[in-house]
Amino acid sequence: MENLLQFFKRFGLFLQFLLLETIAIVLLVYFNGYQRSVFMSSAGLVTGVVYQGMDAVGGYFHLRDVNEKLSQENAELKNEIARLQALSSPSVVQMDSIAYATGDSVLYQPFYYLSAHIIQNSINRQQNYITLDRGANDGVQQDMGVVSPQGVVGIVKSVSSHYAMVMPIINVQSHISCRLDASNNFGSLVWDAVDYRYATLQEVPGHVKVEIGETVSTSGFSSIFPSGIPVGKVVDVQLMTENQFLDIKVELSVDFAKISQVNLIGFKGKYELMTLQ
Amino acid sequence: MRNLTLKYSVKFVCVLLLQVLLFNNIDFLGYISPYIYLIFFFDLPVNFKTPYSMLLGFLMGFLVDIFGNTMGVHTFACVLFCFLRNAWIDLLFSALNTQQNELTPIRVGWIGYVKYVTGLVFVHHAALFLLEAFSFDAFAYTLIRILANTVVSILLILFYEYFRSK
Repeated sequence: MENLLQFFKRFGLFLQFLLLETIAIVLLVYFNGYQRSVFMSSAGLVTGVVYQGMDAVGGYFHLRDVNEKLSQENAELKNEIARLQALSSPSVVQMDSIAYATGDSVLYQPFYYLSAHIIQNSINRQQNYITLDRGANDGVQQDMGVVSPQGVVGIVKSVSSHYAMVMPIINVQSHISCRLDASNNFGSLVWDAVDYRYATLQEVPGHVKVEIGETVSTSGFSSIFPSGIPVGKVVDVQLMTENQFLDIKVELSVDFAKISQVNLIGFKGKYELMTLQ
Repeated sequence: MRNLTLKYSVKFVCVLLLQVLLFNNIDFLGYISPYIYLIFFFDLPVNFKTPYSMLLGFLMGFLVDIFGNTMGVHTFACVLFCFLRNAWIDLLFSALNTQQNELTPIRVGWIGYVKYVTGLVFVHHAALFLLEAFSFDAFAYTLIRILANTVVSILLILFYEYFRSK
């Protein structure tokens, strides 16, 4: 007993140090996995409220930018309406001999949108995350796609009742299936943690001709994004000698340092599709 | 005693909020964001016992981690920082180690104070960025991040101490 007390007196400090560091490492390994806890993160209730309060103040500084982008988006939506009106005008219907049955898949719109506001964002880490002010109560679900008016932002990774955490393209764990628009070849978009403006498109075979400046968009191969949402444009192409695949550097169309307003994309048939696959 | 407890509690909260709400949002050149919450530990009394400062370090690191979604990274670096703090003070200023006061640049001289800050900030940042990368891939890049962030954090901390000691 005496010896044990002596031992603790001498090594107690070091034992405490080891204990605390072990807890830290366990936290690190446990919570930095793919499935992160909602409660101990920026999507948790207390931290969420603090960030939301902060954002209420900080939001004013971005108003001009946001306004500009909203008006741009507005214009695009008006164009879309005009196009759709032209399509559904009586002359078109009369000329068209096919009558649509209710529930016809031509009229079925499989994706729906929710708007959300970013309350926390980082761009200078290896694993960046974005926190949104919408949660399960607003209909947000895990694995929803997140886009801004400029293009793809990321994928929802976890959801609490009022907040959601998004893994953006600029997270080293992010993989998004993308397509080269000109050649229609598919690849996987990953990020190398160096510069938040650029990501890399991998797994495109070496024989494919890729032009600098060519646009890259989503492939639509998953139930997360519809196809054709812009991701970025090609700025550099290199052939990897070891596996004969291309390493395509893509300039992202979304400026992650500036985004504040995003849309979430839901897919109505997701569970049906998942059970089928 | 109660006065001091209150003073350090208020300081703890202020430093934490400054870090998570202001300095965490600074992304200079895309990879520099200073970690100034160490100021709290630099300003603890010299004879503040290591077991207690390690617990405070754990709490501070944990809270910074929760706000920054970097679970465990700051906790580890901060506990390491506090574990080494008293030993580092003993090594640099062995004559002072039983005193109750805080270390200030005026009392130990600017050269001594810069040594005190530099050594500890470097250890903290090295642990922080190596853990965050969690690999030795792209080690050169991690090293640049460590050095650049260390320099910026040290400058900010010294800047603060300069105005505090005036």
